[in-house]
Amino acid sequence: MSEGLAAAGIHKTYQIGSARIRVLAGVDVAPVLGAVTVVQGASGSGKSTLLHVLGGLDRPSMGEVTWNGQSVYGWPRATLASWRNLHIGFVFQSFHLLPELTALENVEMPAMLARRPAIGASRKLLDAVGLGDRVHHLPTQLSGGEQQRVAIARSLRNDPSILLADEPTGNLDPATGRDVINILLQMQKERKKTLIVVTHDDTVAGLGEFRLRLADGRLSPVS
Amino acid sequence: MPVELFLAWRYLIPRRGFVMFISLFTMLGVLLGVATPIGVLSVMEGFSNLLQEKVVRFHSHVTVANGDIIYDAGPALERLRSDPDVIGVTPFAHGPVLVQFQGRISTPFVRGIPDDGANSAIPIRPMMIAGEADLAGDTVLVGEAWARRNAALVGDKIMVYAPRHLEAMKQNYEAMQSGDSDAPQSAILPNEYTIVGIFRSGLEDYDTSVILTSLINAQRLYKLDEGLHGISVRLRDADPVVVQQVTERLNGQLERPLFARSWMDQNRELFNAIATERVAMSIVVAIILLVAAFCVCNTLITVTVLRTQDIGVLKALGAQDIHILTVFALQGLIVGVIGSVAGSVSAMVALRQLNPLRAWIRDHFDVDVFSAKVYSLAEIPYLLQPETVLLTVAGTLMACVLAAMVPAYYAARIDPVEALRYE
Repeated sequence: MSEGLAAAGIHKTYQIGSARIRVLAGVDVAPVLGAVTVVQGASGSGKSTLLHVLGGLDRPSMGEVTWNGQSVYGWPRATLASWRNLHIGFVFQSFHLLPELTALENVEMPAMLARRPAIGASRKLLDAVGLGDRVHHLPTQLSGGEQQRVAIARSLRNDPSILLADEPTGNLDPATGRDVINILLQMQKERKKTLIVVTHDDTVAGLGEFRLRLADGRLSPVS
Repeated sequence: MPVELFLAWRYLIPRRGFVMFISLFTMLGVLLGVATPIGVLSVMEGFSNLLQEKVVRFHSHVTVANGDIIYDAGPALERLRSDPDVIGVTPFAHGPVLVQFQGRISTPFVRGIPDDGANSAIPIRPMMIAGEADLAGDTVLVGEAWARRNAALVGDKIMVYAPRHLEAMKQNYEAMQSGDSDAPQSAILPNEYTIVGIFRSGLEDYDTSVILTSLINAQRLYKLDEGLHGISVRLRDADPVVVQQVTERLNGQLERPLFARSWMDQNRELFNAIATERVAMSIVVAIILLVAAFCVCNTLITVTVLRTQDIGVLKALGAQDIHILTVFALQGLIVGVIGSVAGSVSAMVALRQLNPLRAWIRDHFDVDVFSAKVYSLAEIPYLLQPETVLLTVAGTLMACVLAAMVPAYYAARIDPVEALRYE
């Protein structure tokens, strides 16, 4: 039985009108626990889809995603959602903060969904990402870099073992992007998380301990 | 605070943006949807209640009769007076007469009731607006509307022709036909009565067509001797259900052919008409609630579409379908609760201000929205009953939650990946 998260034989196809588009064509991946794995690939290569499939958001057309040997898509929807809540932390390219909530409330949201709110823990996380003085600001009152730092804090709130980052610097200028990726890596290292980053940015890709390339629906190691 | 309630409130009343106005207008819709039925039903209830009160005041709760003349009413009167549920008993004679006053002829009913304290079921004194309620001797009390129409005042005299006069006419006619010139012929003279008081029952019908006199006078007019047309009975408990129960019990105890009829039985047509009107109004009220429900549904569909991406984010963070469903169903409930509370308070304020508002409209626009001539009521009556408020609020809350379930179910089933891509 494999430890943690693994995917085997993942296929994903979309039906758009009469066209059948194959995005993933037999992906196998087992991220090394506590390490940073980077998935590179051109735009539209299926990187985000792979991340969604790994995170339990998008059911594959074929293949299995397992958690400690159990197929996560075999679970009921509520169990899958609960697993996502406790074991997966997402960081999106477009930040995806909830616009009606303050930075603090956004970070607290995963804990509220898990019915174990503790606002102090969220405040500490915001302090850790350097936003201790912006806790009551709405997303629209924060810069792009600040919003992504809030998103990083949010992804860590329930102390998940897996972090999935989808182009975390894609919407940021290079300098801010560097800051954000450094914070993400710092958090990953301090908290010993398994981090999977998908990116088309070579600079970001160079920071990964393990590098994979997604092309033609398949993953291959980058030498 | 549970996360569902926290999110429902934030989405419904956001800190900024147009959604807040949509929510406020929805609540306004629910407010009107609650206030209108409460107001309308309270006025109808008040009107019906006042009508009942006036009918009962004049006719009492139960009438005992035998469909003809009761010649030996003593045992029945004894039985009724000793009944624990009965607080008043009034024997009466009642029938149509022909009244001549200052050359005008009218055909009211005369109602004879005891003038010696034996009338304990029909309280006349509270109805008096002029003169005295003293029926001793050849006196009558006339209704306000009859007095107004005939320009009659206290102290005026009226001439009354009754069945006994018709019988005398018939005897004279038969004597004439027989050709017997020696047969005695009687002069047919009407009875003269003095108006000693004017009453106002509050019902135009009674105030126009009923004349009160002493039981002895009525018995004389109808040649009843000691006979009666019926017995009015006032009960301790005026609740219609109790009245009906006591009426049924009395029917089991009275010797045939005597029978008891409640005031509801005697005025069934009138109250059936009111009941029919209430059913029609209830349909209108249900439609109003339906419109409010559509209003809620429409708003939540809008909010759901606006929040599609947020729903995707929440699902990525681990929200279950039931969380999302609850968030949107709660929005319907919140709209319902706020709208219901505001609507109930508005209805109460509006009902209190109904008559001042009517006076203001009359003074400023010369329009009387509730004419006293038409309704025989000086003020718009209303009776705000807790069950009216509770039923309306419960119906509204149910409608709001059910209306919210459609968009809530849709929101719960949104595919998170599609939602995250949604712009």
